[in-house]
Amino acid sequence: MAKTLQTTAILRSLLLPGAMLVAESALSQHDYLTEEDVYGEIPAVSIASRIPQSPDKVPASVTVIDRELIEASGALSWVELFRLVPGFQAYYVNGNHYGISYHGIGRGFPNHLEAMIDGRSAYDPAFSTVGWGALGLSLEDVDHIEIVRGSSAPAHGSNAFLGAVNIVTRTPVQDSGTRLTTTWGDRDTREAFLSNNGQLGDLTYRASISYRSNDGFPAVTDDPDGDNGPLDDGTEEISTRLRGTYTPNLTDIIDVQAGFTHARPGWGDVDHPDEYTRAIFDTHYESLKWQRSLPSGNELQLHFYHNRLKGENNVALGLVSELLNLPPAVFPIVVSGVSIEDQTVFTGFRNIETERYDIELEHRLQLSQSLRATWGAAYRHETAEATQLFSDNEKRHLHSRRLFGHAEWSASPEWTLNGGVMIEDNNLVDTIFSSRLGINYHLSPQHTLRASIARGRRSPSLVEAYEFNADFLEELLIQAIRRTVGELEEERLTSYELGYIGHFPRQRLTLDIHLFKEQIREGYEVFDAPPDPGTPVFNPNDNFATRANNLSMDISGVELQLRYRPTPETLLAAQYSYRHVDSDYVSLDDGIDFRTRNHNSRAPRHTANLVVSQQLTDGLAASINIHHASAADWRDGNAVDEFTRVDARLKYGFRVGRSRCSLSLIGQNLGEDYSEHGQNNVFDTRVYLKFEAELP
Amino acid sequence: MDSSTFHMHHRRYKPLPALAICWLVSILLLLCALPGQAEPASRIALLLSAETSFYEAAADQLKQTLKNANNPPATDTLIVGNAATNRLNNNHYRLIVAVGTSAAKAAANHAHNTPVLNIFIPKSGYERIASTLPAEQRGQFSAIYLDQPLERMISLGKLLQPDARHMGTILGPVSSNHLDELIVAAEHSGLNLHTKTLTDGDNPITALKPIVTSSNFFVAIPDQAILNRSVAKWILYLSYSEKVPVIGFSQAYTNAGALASVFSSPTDIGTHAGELITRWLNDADPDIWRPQYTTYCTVSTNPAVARSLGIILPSEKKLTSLLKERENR
Repeated sequence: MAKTLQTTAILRSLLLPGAMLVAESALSQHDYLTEEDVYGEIPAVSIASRIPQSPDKVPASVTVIDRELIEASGALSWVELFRLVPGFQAYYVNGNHYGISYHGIGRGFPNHLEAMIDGRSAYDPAFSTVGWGALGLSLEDVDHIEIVRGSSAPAHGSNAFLGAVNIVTRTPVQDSGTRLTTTWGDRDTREAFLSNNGQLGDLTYRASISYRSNDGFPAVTDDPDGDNGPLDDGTEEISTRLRGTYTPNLTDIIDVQAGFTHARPGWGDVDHPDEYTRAIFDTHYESLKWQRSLPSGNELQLHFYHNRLKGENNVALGLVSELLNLPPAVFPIVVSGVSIEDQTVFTGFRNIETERYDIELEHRLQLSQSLRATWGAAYRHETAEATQLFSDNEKRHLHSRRLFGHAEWSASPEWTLNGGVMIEDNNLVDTIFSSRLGINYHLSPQHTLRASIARGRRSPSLVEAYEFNADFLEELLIQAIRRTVGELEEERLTSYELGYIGHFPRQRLTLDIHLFKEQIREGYEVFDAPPDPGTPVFNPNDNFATRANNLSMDISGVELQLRYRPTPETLLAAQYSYRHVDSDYVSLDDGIDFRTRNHNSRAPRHTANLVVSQQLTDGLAASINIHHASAADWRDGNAVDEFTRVDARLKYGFRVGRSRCSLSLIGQNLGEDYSEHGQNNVFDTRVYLKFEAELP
Repeated sequence: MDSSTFHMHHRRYKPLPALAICWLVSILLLLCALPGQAEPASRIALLLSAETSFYEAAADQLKQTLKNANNPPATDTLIVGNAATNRLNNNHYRLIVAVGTSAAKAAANHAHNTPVLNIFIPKSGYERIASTLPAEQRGQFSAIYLDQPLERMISLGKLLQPDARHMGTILGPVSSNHLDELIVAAEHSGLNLHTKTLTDGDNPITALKPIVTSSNFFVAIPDQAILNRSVAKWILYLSYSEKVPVIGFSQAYTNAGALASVFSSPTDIGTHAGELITRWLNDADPDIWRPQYTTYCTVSTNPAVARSLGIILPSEKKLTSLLKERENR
C-alpha cells in the first residue's frame, strides 16, 4: 500500500505528488476535470495500522514503525521500539537514559543519529545526542515513525551522519474526544496519559499531558569488584503538549506546537552504582509550520521552531577538609603552588542551558512528468552554556546555514534516479558538502533493486568543539575528564549500499534486504593525553580524554526486514542484522607512550527481532516480541553476554457505554535476567497492567 | 562481445554514400504514406495524449479487444505533439480514438471530417470540449467517461454499509454542477444527503466536520486535482476519527486511506471501447455516439482501514460483481 510521507518527511525526495499523466497547467482555472484530476495522487494520511509507502523509489533503506506495530510490540520505552529496526542499537545506558543509534558502538551519548519530532530536531547541542529519556513525548502521541537507515546528512544535515528518524505525532484532526491511558507495574512503574481533541473556533487542537515514574534497574548487590550500590536511576517526568491545526482556506495549513517537560532522572555511571545523583531537566519547545499548496501541484513550506533545555545536576560532595580528612584549621593549604581555601566541592554536570532557533523554507516542485525536485534553505542559531563541560559560564554560539536540493527522475518505468546535496556553512568548520546518488531498477512493479552512494559530512556540536571538562579547586586541576584541543575538522563518511525490495501481494509479504559498507574517516574519538604543560595539577598522572579526528572505522554488513500478514488478524514483523566493524583509533598519546585500540567488538554482531500479533476474538488480542542480541563490549558501558528477551502482551477490549476501553497485560523479559549495556544493569522479569479508555 | 570482435565486424562494411541514404529515406517515406491513401477509411487511429503507461495500457487493451472482431481493423498509434495531427484530417481514418484530454482537444481541432471516440476523459472535460464543436461534428464526437456515475459510488457505500441512512460529500467548483444529479441519486438509494460546496476561502475542517459527523459513509467526488489533494487529508482524518468509512474514486484514494474506491482502470476503459467499436464496425450500432460511463469498473479496498473500522470486507472481485449486479437490477 503506497503512502506519501508527509510533513517534513524523512526523505525529501518523496515529498512531491507524482503526476503520472499529462497534467493540464493551471488546473484551478478550469471549470472541468481532466484525467489528472481523477487519477492524480492523493496525499496519504496515516490511519490506524497502515503499512506505509513501499520505498521502491527511495535512494535509501527506510523503515516505518506504525501504530499497529507500536502496540503489538508491547513497547513501553523508545528502546523497545527501536529494536524493531534492523541495524539499530537501542540500549538502556541506565534505567532512564537510553542510547539509540544506527550502526553505533554503544556510546552513552550516541551522536550520529538525528531524531526529529514532526520535523523539529530534538538533537541537543550540549549532550551531542537526542535526550530520549526526557523527550517529553509519550508513545501514545506517536502516529508513526519514519527511519532512514543510512546517512541522511544529504537531506537533514550534519547530525543525520549515520541515519535519521522522524517521529510523526498524531494530528489534532485524527482523533476526537478524550483518551486516558494508565500503566502500573514492576520497578514501581506509574504512568498516565491524558489527551483531548477538540475545536476552539477555527482551530482544531490536541492537548495532552503525561506523567511517568519508575525505579530504574534494581540495586547492585553482587558486583565481583565490590561496586555495589542502590543504582538510583529511577525517574519522574511530567510533560504537556499542545498541537493546533488551522486551515484558513483550502490551500494553507498552519500547524502550531508547543510543549513543556520537567524530568528528574537519576544520573550516573553503570560501573559506580553508589554514585548516582539526581538531575533536573526542564525543556520546552515551540514550533510553527506553514504549508501552502500551489495551483500547479507544487508546495511551499516554512517551518520555524525553538527548543530550550535547562539541566541541573549540582551535587555537593562536602568540604575539602572533610574529603581529605584534614582539620579545617590547616587551610589555606598550598598544592602545586596553588593556595586553596577550605570550600565545598561539587560534582555533576552542574548547569547546562541550550537553545536552538531554526527556520527553514522548502519548495517542492513537479518539474515535468518524470522529474520532481525539492530545494530549500535554512538558518539555525544554537547556544550552549555548560558549567562543567566548558569549565566556565560563557555562552557558546553556533550560526549555521543550510542549502539543499534533491531531485528524483523517473527515467523510464524501469529506472529511477535520485540525487541530492546539502551544503552547510557554520562557524565551527569550513563549508561542508554532503551528497547522495541513487539508482533504482524496477524489475517489475513488485521488485526493485537499488544501488546508492552517499557522502556524509558532520560538523562538531558546540560541546564537541569547545569541551573543557575538568574539576578545579581555584586554578588547581584536581580531575581531568575530557577536552577538545585545537580545532576539530568535520567527520567524513562514504557509504555504499545495495538493496532489494520485494512485495509479494498474494502472500501479503514485503521484504527488504540491504547490504552496506560505510567508511568513516576523521571520526571523533578520545585519546589519553596530559594537561597542558604548566597547569598546576593535583595528580601528576592525570590525563584528559582528548577529542580529536582520530577514528577510522569501516562498518559492513547486511540487514533484512520483513512484514507478513498471512490473514487480516495476524501480523508478523521481523528484522535481522549482521555487521562487521574494522576500526582503529589512537587511545593514548602522552608524549612517551602511544597506543591504538579498536571498536571491533563494540555492539552486537547479530541482532534480530520478531513480533507476532494475533487478533484472537473481537475483543482479545495477543502478541509476542522476541529480541536477540549477541555479546558486545559496549563503549561507555562494559562487556555483556548475548541475550534473548521475550515479551508478551494480552489485550482485552470492551465497551462501557459509548466509550471504548481496553486492559492489557504486558510481560517483559519472561525468561532469565540479562544485562543491558553494562553488567550492573540487570533486566529482570517485569509485569505491567495497562488500561486505556477512549471517551467520545 | 569484446572490443576486438566489435572492431572486426565494423571493418566489413563500407559506409553508404550519402546519396543512397537520401534515396532510401525518400522511398521509405513514400511507402509509409501509401496505405492511408489506398484504403482511406479502414484504419483506426489511437491518438494518445502522451507516451504514458496509463494511456498506453488503455490503448493496448483496446487493440486486444478489437482482435476479437470478425475483421479486426488495423490501428495506428499516434502521440499528440509528435506532428502527426495533420494526418487526423482528410479521411485518413475511419475512426479516431482520442485517449485523454489533450488528445480530445487535438481531435476536436483537427479531425473535422472523421468520427471521434474519446476515452480516458472525465465527463465535464468532454462536455466542455464538445460544446465548442459545430453541431454536425458533435454528432460524431462521443466519449466513454473516465469518472464514475454518482449512483455507482453511492451504491458501493450502501454495499459496505447496508444500514446507512445518511451519506456525506463535499463539492467543489466543478462537481457542484452535479448537485441535482447527486440529490436524485441519494434519494433513489433512500439516503439523506449532507453536503456543502467549498470555495477557495472556506476552512475545510470547519466545513467537513458537521458533514462527516452526521454521515454513515462519505463519498469523495472528484474535482480539480488541487482541491482533491488538499481536502482528501481532512476527509480521511475526520472520517477516521468519527469512524465513518470513505468511498474514494481512485486507487490512490484507497491507498491514502479510503475504505474502498470504485474507478475505471485503463483495462476497463480499453475493453469497453473495444467492444463498442467492434459492434459499430460490425453493424454500425449507433450506441457508440451516445456519450456514456464505462460499464466496467474496478473496486479496490483497504483492509487496514477496514480492520480499524471493524468492517468485514468481501474480496475486491466479489464487490465489483455485487456492484454490477445492483446496476443490472
